[in-house]
Amino acid sequence: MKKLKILLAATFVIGLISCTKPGEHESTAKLKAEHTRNEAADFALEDANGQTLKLSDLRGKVVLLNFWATWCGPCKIEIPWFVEMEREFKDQGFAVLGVSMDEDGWKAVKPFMQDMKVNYRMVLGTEEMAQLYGGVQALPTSFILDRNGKVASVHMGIVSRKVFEEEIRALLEGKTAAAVGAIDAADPARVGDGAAGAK
Amino acid sequence: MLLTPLILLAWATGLPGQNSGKPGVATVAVKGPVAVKRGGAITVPVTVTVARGYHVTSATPGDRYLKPLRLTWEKGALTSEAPPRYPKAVLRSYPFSEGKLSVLDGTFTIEQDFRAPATASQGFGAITGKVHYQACTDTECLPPATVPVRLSYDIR
Repeated sequence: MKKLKILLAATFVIGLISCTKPGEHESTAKLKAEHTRNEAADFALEDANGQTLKLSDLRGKVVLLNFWATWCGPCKIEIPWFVEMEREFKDQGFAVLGVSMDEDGWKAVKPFMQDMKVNYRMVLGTEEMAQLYGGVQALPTSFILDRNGKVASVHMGIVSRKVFEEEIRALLEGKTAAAVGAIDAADPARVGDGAAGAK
Repeated sequence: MLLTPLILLAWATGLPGQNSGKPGVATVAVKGPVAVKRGGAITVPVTVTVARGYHVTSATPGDRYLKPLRLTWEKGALTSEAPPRYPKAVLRSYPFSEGKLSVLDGTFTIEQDFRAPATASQGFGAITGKVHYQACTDTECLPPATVPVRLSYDIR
């Protein structure tokens, strides 16, 4: 039953956000309607400074949860955007949280963070944690969480900076999803839902 | 209730970026058995086919963070003293790259020279290896993957 739930959740993400060909990713912001958002699964992982970071500690902030890897070219384009967004929106209650899926761990990630002047918190993802977010089969994959820790949008593959900024601004300003083109998903998929797996 | 996800599953199947069970993005073929005389040498072509819409990082990516294409072999009756010969890569621009990336796509061949020692036992056998690759589309990347290779030989 648990496996079925995970399969259905992953299937929904695949179908919902990746029905485009390469190079044809959506160019407009689309937040899920508030009543269809599911709670992002909590996790606790060590950050680059060795401190334990719990996703739930960021509750109250709009969070951009970005799964990436050093070998991922498209991820490399987004990271400087995220550095600037962290700087621009931090004081309004926004945080970027990077989740590196590098097999080589901090040995690969720390030099990359220095090269890219990453100013936001970073953790190393695990397979178990990625499963809570639909498996995260392709990178980059980003989840934007509202202030209540619920998944407001998901982007698989690189999308434009404009899309990220529109969604983040809307969530920070408390705009309704309808104002930024809500996906009124009737499907009860529970991607990122803490109920789908253990912390 | 269950219908929507099932329809979406069918819909998503075959889309680039969703085959990241990773088998399927690249397939590897080696013809065998190859015949080689004791003390003789042979060049074996290993054919790699990358799924449409994807490219793989070449053996010489020119960026320390990228994962190069690699062909490796286990020790066996055939010995490979020289490294594999990889095909010439294409330098291509992508929306996500500042410069050009060294990539391969479609079908290409990696060549490997083997030698059968003069003291090798005659008869059939096999040697195994692996092709390590990392694939991307124009907009997203899949984790590094490995495909096993098996070369059958007949030492005469």
